Amino acid sequence: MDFKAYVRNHLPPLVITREPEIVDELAQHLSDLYAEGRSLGLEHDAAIARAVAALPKHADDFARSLESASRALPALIADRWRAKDDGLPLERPARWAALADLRRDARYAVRMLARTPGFTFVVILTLALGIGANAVIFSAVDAVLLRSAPVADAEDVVSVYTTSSTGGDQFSTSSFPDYADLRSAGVFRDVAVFASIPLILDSGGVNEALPGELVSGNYFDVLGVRIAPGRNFSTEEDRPGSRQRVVILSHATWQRRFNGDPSIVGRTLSLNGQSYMVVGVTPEGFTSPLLGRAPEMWAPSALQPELRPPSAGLRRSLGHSNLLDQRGLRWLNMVARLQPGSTPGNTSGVVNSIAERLQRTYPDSNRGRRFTVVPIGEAPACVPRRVRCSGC
Amino acid sequence: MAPQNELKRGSAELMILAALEARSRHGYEIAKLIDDRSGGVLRFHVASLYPMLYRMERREWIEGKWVEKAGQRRRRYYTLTREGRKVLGEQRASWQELLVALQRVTGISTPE
Repeated sequence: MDFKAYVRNHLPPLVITREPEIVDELAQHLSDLYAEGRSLGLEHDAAIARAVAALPKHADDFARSLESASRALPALIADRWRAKDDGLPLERPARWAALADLRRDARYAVRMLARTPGFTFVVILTLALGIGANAVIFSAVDAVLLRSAPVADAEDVVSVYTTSSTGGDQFSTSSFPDYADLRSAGVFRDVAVFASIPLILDSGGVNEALPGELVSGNYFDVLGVRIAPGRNFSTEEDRPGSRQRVVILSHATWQRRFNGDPSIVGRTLSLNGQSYMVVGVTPEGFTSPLLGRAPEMWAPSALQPELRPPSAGLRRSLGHSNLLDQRGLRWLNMVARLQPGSTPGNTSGVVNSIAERLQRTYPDSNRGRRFTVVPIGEAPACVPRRVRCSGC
Repeated sequence: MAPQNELKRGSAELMILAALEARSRHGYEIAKLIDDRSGGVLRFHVASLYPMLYRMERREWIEGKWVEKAGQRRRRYYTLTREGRKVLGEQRASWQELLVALQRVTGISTPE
């Protein structure tokens, strides 16, 4: 008498690899009970009823119990749990005991895999395909998005981050005064900053939101991006306090919104309710050193008070809208071009000696803060969530 | 787990280990042997027998192997491992100690 189908129907599916073996074993047990019943003189139906009555009525509980037993915790842990439940003092296990447990688990895993070669093959194949696909996708992203950033001599360009005061976050944004000090120290060939800004473009009465970036005047020079047609921001336009409203357009925006109008330079656009003059266009393909960003326009950082004003609360507390003189407000991403022959590794030491000087000079805002220097293609700056404005 | 349940589980484990001391047996045989030896007083139900066997197997006290015999369906036989034999010795000693103590305290006597 075969009870396999009965057991299979009675039990809910077990989420363990040895499920077929358990079904077989329980079915065999019922067959033995049936044979016993027959040997005791029971009729066929009565013997079947006697056998199947051996299976618990609460099949879900039984299935959970079978699953849990098949996946039981290593003995050492189970013993500790029991001791804890019983209120017994726990002994600290010796190191070798934990290792023995690990060895036993590994042996058990190997034995179980060896017993189910089909399942093992599928697991290995799945892992191999998963790892392979992951490597291929990363290689493609690395090649297409990171290495091919339209930046001149990209291997010399690095991202520079400020660490959190506790050192927990190595990749935090920076303040404008810290940037200015780092730039004037001359450790890098040059340093630039940028931050995202929302822009509203008024095109003939239709308002449209588009992504923009506020950048230091040397931003495109640091990245080796040549502006054409037009020009880069002038020194005067980049000077803090300047109110010269100018923007540089992305090549894509120039083509899409203005049909590649050759007379775009010098034209005036209505942005955020104010008139801005277009002074240049970036080369085709340039977007941002941050993966996933595609700003349509760039404006000089001197325009921060009107293009990236602080929150109302912060403005009340500061008494003004200028963030460029606030050392404790870190809202900017930094990029830098290394000196010839320098590497991120050998630059970090010098950069952090400056960080230590800043810590001593400005303990209120810079206590515990250091700088992290990483190649631009390998920087977590590629993750847009890193771009945030702390405190505003 | 309450101490009472722990006591029950401990005794069940001891019974299974003892049932496998002489030779390998399959699940039904183990239950039958315990039933017979205890005169029907101690009975293992399927609901508790197999989870316990799997747990003991996981702890490497016993080892289960499928055995095929001519004209029969394959069966899973459980054998005592070296670790299981050691545990059996330890459990026997501690139960012996407990029974002696119980006798002294309660006056229960075991039939010779």
